[in-house]
Amino acid sequence: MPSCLQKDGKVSIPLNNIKVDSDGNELMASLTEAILPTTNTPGAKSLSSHAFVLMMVDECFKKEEQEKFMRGLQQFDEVARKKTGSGFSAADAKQKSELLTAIEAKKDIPAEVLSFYNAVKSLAIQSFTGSKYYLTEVRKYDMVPGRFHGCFPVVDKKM
Amino acid sequence: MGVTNDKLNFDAIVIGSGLSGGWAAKEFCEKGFKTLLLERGRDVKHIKDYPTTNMYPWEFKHGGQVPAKIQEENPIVSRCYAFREDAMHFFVKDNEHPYVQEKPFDWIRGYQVGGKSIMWARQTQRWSDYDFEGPARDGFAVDWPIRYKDIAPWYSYVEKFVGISGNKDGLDSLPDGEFLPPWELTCVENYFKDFISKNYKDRHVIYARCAHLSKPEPIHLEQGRGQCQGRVLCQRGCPFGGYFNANSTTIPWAQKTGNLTLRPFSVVHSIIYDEKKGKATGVRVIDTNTKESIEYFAPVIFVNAAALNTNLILLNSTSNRFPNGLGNDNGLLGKYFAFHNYRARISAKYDAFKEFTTDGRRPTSAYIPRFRNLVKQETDFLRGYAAGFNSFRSSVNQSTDGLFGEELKNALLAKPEPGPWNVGSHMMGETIPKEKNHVSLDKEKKDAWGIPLLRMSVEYDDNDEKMTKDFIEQMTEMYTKAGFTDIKTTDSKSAPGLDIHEMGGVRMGHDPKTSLLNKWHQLHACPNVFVTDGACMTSTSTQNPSLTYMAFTARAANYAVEQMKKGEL
Repeated sequence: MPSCLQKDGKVSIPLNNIKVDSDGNELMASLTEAILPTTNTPGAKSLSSHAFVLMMVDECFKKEEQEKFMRGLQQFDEVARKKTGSGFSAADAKQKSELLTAIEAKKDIPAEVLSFYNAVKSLAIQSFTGSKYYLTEVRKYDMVPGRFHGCFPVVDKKM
Repeated sequence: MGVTNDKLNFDAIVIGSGLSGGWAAKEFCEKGFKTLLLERGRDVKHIKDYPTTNMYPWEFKHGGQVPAKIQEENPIVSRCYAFREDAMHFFVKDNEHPYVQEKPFDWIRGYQVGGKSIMWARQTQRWSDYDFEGPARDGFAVDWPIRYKDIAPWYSYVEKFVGISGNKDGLDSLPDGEFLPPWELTCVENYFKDFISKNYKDRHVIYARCAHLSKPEPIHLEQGRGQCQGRVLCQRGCPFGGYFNANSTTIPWAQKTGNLTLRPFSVVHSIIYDEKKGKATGVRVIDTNTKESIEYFAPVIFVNAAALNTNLILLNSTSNRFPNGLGNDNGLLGKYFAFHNYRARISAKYDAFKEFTTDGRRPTSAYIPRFRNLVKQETDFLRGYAAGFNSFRSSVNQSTDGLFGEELKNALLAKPEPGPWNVGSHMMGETIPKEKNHVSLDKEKKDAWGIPLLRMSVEYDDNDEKMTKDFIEQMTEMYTKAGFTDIKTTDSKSAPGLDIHEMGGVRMGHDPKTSLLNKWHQLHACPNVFVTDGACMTSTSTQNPSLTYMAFTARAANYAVEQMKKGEL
């Protein structure tokens, strides 16, 4: 069975080392969108941040980091069900916000949920600051600078 | 030279198509010699075979990171700073070409046309007589059979062709060369330069000379290269040909003569020695695709396989006359192996020049030439170290702690505040070649082509430990006096090898009893075989060695041409 076909037969993103079913995939999509919402600028949904996060965990994390991440994902799901009743994906905006506020405040949150959340947040940020949008519209990446000024006035500098 | 019709006969054979081998091929081809340039790896054509060169950051699947599986399978090359997603295809993977580490040694390799010249750090500082006279003055290794005056014209010769950006500094410890204009130093680098020259009479901070076309001359345009655009993505190969590599420069130049036969996928098993003629007659090559063994012949052979593989080839070239390796009458082949000590680093902040930053990018930094024990012995260790000096203005992004949702996005979109200047230096220490630091052939283990694996037995000694400590002390003092703050020093304690400056094993010298090569880089005992890569080094000094290998190669190849014309080779 190709790895992109999960147990429920729905197509997810191709993963080789970790197994995420369509519920997990949906959870990741709604969590990354809650962290990095699509507004008048691109966010998790328009950047497919959840797919980037899962791909990076799958390909750039070591085995023990992947296992820890997957345990954290499961625990996050449990905590979310307990706090919202419905689970994270189905929760309303207020419930999502309350849960993430509690996590950011590290209030009564299991350690592996925190490390899972921090990993998701930092990879979601990477999907944003490393995106074509960000590197052409926000901090322009200069592929061919063709110049170097060693002593350049700060006032004129677009940082 | 006579035109050879036979596909197996050439006027010259060069083993290795990297930084030094490319130079040998260029010199021979220009003089009309039908030249066979052998490369064990694949071909890499300038521009065409630089698959990542024009990729934007967002086009890299893993954001530049090397996937975990590749890192786990290749712990050695993964320790190399340049082994990143954008250039990892130019590095040998550990499991493809194993070697035996009697003592830990990180061997970083590039098996392809152009070799490591594609990914090199491009720093090009000349040696001076303080370097060549080191062993004789300080009583280690053996005396170099050449001095600065022998090599100076050849430095000029290669610098003009390569294109070196530099500043005339007038230092006898680091002689000036043929320079294209320098890039600017930063305000902080200029401040430190002035501060050091006022406070230390024998210490200098200068612009670090580099193999970049800051302003191309006609010769560079003729090579098809253009001005360096400061992309600083050099390890990917440069579409402008803005820095020197063999692929953009020496190899196409040699090809243009019509005299070059470039043969990739050709591992050299050994050099063939003819007992009756009393000289080497050719090389045994194994085609890595067909596994076929082929013999090629030429009256002169240049070994430029990169220091360690040059040692391997010579050790594996045995005959009745040379049972222990070609030219190895004294048993010293593979011994007195050395490298550069790059273990120590220092970094700090400088809370000044707040009204200035930098704009654009440049492919180099500043450089602190060796000052320790330069004119006379002054410490309890031999020799000394050079150091880089780099600075940049940091920018402080808004913190994302505690933030999610729109607040997080606003923080990421906010303009960063300019932070303090960051400064840093890394150590480039001379190591002392010793007999016990050696390489040899494994008696049992062989590679896929039946060639014995190389065994590495190289380590630091007490002199290196003392020198590392002194670097940290002296640099800390200089940084502190200059007003830098938040000074942090590290000794990585990493194994030798990550300097990627392997040297020695086939050292030059006056005396066949104590050295392998004469002053023209010929094996004393087999003079039609020349070694002009890192293997020839009698001592290491502190400069990045590539420029010196290029000058050595051009000088030796021109000598070989003259000797052959006289019928003496």
